[in-house]
Amino acid sequence: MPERRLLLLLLGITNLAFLALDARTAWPSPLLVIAGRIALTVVFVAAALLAREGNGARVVQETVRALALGTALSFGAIVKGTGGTSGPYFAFFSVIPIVFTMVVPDDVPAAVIISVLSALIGVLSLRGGDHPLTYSAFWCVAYASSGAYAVAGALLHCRFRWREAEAQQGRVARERERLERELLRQRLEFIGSQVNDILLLVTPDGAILQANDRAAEAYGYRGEELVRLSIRDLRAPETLGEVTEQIRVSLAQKKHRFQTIHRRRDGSTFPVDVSVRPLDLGGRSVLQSIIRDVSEEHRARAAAEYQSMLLENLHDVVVGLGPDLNVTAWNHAAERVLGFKREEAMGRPGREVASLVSAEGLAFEEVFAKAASEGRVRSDIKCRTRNGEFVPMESTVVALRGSEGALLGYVAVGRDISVRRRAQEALQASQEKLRRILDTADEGIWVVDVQGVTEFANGRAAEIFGLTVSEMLGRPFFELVPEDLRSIARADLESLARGEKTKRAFKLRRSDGSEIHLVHSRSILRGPGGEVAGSVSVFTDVTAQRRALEELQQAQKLEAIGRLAAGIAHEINTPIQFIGDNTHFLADAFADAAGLLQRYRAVLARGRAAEAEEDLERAAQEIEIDEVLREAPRTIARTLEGVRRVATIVRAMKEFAHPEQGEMVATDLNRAIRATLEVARNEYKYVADIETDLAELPLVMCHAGDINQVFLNVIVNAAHAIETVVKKGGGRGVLRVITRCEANEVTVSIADTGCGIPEQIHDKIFEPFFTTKEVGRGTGQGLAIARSIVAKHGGVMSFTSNVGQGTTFLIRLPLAHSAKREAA
Amino acid sequence: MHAKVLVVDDEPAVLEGIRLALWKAPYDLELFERPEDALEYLRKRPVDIVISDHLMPGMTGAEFLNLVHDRQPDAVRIMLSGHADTETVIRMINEGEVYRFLTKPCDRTELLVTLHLACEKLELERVNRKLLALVRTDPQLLARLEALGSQRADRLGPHNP
Repeated sequence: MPERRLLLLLLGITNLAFLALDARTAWPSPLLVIAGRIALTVVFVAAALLAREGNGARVVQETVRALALGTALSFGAIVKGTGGTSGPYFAFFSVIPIVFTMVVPDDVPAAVIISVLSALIGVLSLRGGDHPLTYSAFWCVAYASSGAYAVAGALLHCRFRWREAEAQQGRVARERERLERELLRQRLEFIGSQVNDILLLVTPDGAILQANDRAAEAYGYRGEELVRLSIRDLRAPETLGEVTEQIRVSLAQKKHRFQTIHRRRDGSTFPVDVSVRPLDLGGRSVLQSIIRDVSEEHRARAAAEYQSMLLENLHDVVVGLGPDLNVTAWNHAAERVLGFKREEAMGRPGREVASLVSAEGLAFEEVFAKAASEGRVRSDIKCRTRNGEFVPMESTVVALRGSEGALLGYVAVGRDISVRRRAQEALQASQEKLRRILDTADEGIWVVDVQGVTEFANGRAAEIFGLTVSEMLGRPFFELVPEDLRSIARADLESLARGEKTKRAFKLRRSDGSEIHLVHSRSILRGPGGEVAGSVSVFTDVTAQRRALEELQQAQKLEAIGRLAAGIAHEINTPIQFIGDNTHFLADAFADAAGLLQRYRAVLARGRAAEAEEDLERAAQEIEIDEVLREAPRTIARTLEGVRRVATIVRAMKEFAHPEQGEMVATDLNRAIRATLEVARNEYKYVADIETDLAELPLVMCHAGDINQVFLNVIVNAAHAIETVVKKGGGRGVLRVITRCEANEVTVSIADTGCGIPEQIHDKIFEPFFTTKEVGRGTGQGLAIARSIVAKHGGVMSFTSNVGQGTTFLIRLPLAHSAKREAA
Repeated sequence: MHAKVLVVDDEPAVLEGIRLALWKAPYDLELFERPEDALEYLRKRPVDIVISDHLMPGMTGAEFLNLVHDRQPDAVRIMLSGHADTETVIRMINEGEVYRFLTKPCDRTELLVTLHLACEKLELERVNRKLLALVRTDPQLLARLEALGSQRADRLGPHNP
């Protein structure tokens, strides 16, 4: 700046010089000129001093203005001094430059104009010709130089200003950037520390420039780690595709807000709400992201929704009331029970839509007043519905108070107890009905809990065990039942534990000494959740059925024997017939022979045998003694054979009929089969031959009479089947009986070559009263009873049959069963 | 000449017994175990009396006697059975298929009496047939016989009020 100061000093000196000149001429008013010049000088000096302060632009401006003013004054003085006619010019030229310099902000054009004007004035002055040329020339030079100075000054000033402006601009920019950064930093720190949101500065390519503490905390990274990451590292993988577009939009718009999902260092994610604003950081675009973790909000919203749902789905009526008792909440149940829609009820006075009277007679307002004073009122109320009915309800009214105790309103919860009352009545009725049904049951029903303690017993159960229901209830099963059932029930516990159902028949001796046959079936009782809650025992009295079965069995046995009786009679009568004939013959023969012997003796006694010989011979001829002697031994043999046959059949009958002893006895099944075949001989002997293949068998424990009945029924059926074939013209059949002893059972197979059993009745032949025989020949009991007897012995009865070829029945009796019973 | 008696029973011992029972009785016996064989015999020879068991293999006594009736209607038929249901017996008697129904065991005396009666029956029938033939050959005879009969009745009348 020394040049400028030099220039200004120069201007000042020049003016002083002009001042000296003016003072010398002192024309026309030297004082005025002097004053003007002094003012100019002062201004210049002040400008120079000010320039030193560095406030250049302003100094130059002031300088030029002062110069212009000075020039104008000088010019005015000249015009006045010459006394010419240039009055208007004076005024014009005095004012214009001043105005110019005052108005035009920049110096250069003003300086140029002033210079031009000055030169013009000089020319005009010359033309005026009022002054000697030299003098005028002097003024011209003076003014021209003054203008030149001004121009030069202005030019210089401009250069300074450019340079200075540049320097200044650089400084200012640097300073501003620093300040802005500082400001931003401070602001970020401020926000970061004050705000709970995450704050990130992100470059347009996604790199994180800066992050606040909350960010580090939220993402689980350390601060310095965060700034090395990209925003993409903080995104949930499924949202990565959106990032580029979101950044683009954020840069394009001044503000962008969106929701996405962010990811923590450990991979867990959380929903966020992001506000992005582009910032210009020293010419660089940066995105400022304010990120809010909205998982809490989501949770809160879900919780709020859940609560409102709860409220809606509540079966109870819930009505919210403000302190003024106007409705503020009205749930679905309220709509249903009270009949007003939510839209109708909201905001209306409570007593219009939920008018109620408590059981104590309190009116609507009184109930709420009581709630306000006591906090909570529970009472049975009657609430009027839209259509005027009163619904009985159990209600609770709670006054809601804020933390400072101010009354916020009320919540009234009501339960429609008319439904509950009805349900209770229905439940009681159904329980009563169920109990009556159970009591009328013919079966004894006894329910025990897991400890075996009686929970329920019907009247029949009590009757069976000779107890009363009241003494059974609450007492353990095992204490109440007799010893033998106790052991059975214990044995069942295991299978019950496996979830099986048990069924057992047993005999119970009652206190009055009578015996009843019971079937005890027991199954697990499960609770509503499927857990074992106890067991249910059902006792069925099968005494009558058993007796009927036994009677039926006996009847069938009698029937079978009766049918056999005729045959057996025939079997016996035939030998008796010839035994009688033979014996008569022998008796006559013996009498004749005895008579002859007498005569021989008499002859011998008289000693005249020779003369009697002819006579004796004639007598012998007469009684056919030779033939009798030939015939007699054969006759005796046949007679004995006949007696043996009768004896056999009588013995077989006895064996067959085997008086029932009630207990099982060790039985030779082969012998039983032989006896049965003997007894039934008449049934088959005209139609079939018997083939037996009886293996050596161990003794089998059984009810022999019953087992014989089984064999008989099957053999008689076989004989009839063969007879059917024979009657149709077929030849004699074969009835084959085979016994075998296998590992743990004895098998008896009885095969015939009869007509066979058609396939379609295979499943029926064991049914009672099913028969294919003509009326009077069979009652349809034979096989049914045979099977029940075999089953009673723990055995199985089955058959195979081919129509036209014959049938084979197979009876399997277990040895183990008998051994067990024997051991017992 | 002895009456000819044919006996059928599937039990040989019974046949032997009957033979012995009629040891001294004046009958010619023909014994058969199988009714078929007996029928074969009957085709060729006449018999006076047929005794049959009822239950036999192949053929029942009723069937057999029925066939005998077809072949030799004059033969007296007797059933000797150890067992026959009442219905069969009634039917057979009603249809005139049997003269007597004997049940086993049958006493020898009963058998002999029955056979004797049967023989008498045969004899009567034979005489009856002879007389009928005589009456047919001489139509006057019957009138004379009737007149003779009424004279006797008149004579006897006062003594038998």
